[in-house]
Amino acid sequence: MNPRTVIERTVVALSTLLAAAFAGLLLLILGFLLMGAWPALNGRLLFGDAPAWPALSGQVPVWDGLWPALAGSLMLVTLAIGIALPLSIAAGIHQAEYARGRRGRLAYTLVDLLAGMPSIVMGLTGFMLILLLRNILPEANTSLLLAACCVALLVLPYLVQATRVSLHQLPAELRLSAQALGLSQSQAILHVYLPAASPGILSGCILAIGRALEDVAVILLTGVVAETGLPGSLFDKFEALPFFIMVTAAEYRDEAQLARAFAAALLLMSLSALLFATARQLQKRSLS
Amino acid sequence: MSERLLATAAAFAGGIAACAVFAILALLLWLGLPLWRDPALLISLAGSSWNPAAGEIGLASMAAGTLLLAASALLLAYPCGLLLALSTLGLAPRPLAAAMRTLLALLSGIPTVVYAFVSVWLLVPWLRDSLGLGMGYSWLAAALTLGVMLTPTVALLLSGALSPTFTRLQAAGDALGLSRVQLLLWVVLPAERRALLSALLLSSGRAVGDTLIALMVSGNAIWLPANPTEPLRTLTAHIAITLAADTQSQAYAAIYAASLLLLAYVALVHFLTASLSDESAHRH
Repeated sequence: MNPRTVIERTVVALSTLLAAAFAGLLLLILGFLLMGAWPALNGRLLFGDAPAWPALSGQVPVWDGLWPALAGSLMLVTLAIGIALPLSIAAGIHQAEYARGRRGRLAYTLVDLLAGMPSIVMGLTGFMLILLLRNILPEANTSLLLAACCVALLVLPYLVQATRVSLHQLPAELRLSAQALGLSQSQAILHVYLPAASPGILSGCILAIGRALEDVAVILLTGVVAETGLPGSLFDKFEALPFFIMVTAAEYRDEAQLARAFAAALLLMSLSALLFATARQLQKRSLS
Repeated sequence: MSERLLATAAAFAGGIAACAVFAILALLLWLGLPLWRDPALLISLAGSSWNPAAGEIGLASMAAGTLLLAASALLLAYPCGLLLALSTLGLAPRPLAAAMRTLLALLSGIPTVVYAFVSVWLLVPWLRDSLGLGMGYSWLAAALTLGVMLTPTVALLLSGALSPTFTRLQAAGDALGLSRVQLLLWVVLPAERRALLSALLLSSGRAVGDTLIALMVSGNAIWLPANPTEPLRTLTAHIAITLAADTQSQAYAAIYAASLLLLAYVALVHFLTASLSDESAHRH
């Protein structure tokens, strides 16, 4: 047989085999997590023995449930996106509509570089800020607010890129019509271009939420702890779902905690899948 | 009035986003000052003995650990990713190819911590108990986990990079009587050598930047492994571990140097991929 034919057949066979192997891998991960999580999948998963309503608002501490970690993660993500989104939409507008020539290219490059940085460096940045701040405020310490700022820094480049690309992809007719109607540049941006680009920006935002939700390396150095309950203020330490999973992989008190960590992994995976599916749906709609 | 306001606000935000990189660099350089001023410490950085109390802050084994882990993970992830990308492009029957894309998207969406967690409770015990390979936490375990985690990302990256050329050439290939596998292997892949290389560079950046899998699965010994069943420590994991345990200023100084090394690698990857895409823009 022709050696090229042999290579072609091998490639087809190998790629089919690999596709089956990775489908099997997804099932294996799901099945393994489900099996490990089974003892914890009941009404006590979130709050444990604590009464649900007082525990929800943090009046009663939860010792054997996922609620403090889940709530900490939700607060962290909300804060981080709240900080990053306005800033990066404005920066994206600047790059797509105002920045020109060499300075514009430099701005692209710098944001792309930020996107490539290892996340642990973002966490280290927060840690260094606290070291510096302690010269002025001796009691300064890592906290929910600091972690949210660093996670915002982590997702900022993705959001800037999403805004820039969505604005660049607007059809030329839209720009011509806006100019022909006599809209000023700021009117055109705020009332025509941004609304038209919003599906793309929104799907970028959903991906950023997923990125912020799963991150551990940043919060590891900026204020996450294993057991503290709900944070009382922005300057308190906090718990987070992915950090709970990571800690339990190294040490755990009892079998119940291990089962809760499996359940937490399952929960985190479902949340990520849900966010990804939504973002893909939005991208499809904005393309058609 | 509102013209100026929007332009100024946008320029301000753009400035913050662009200056963040410089701010991070400045912080690292400024806080690392005691290290840059001490020649003996600076020289010890290049060594391989880590003992901050004795003024020895060698990063060589961690830097080598990062390269070993990233290279071995890519050795698994890149060929697998390429084969999966080819199968989504046209090797698999059409309905199956669509299902494959969904599968890859789902797998690439699994959080890193979940991959590491499953590895700790499934792969590590298997290596330790069934194969009898030491503690299980090892270069091998971390490379397999990182490789599996990167594969779907590499596949999606490559299928995105190859699909325009494949679509463009499909009619010509059909007219010449080429099968889809022939078109992909002997026409599309050689034509897209640069895209293949830049995808490799990009994924190497991802592999080097990973913290969690290295931290949770690699065993974190501070010496170099003699073989894949022994533990190793990467620069990223070293940063996390040192900041959690040490409070000595010399250990901190080494952390800033480690971060600068990582940033230098990221910048190198960025400029290499940028120059690759510039050249291909000139050719077309």
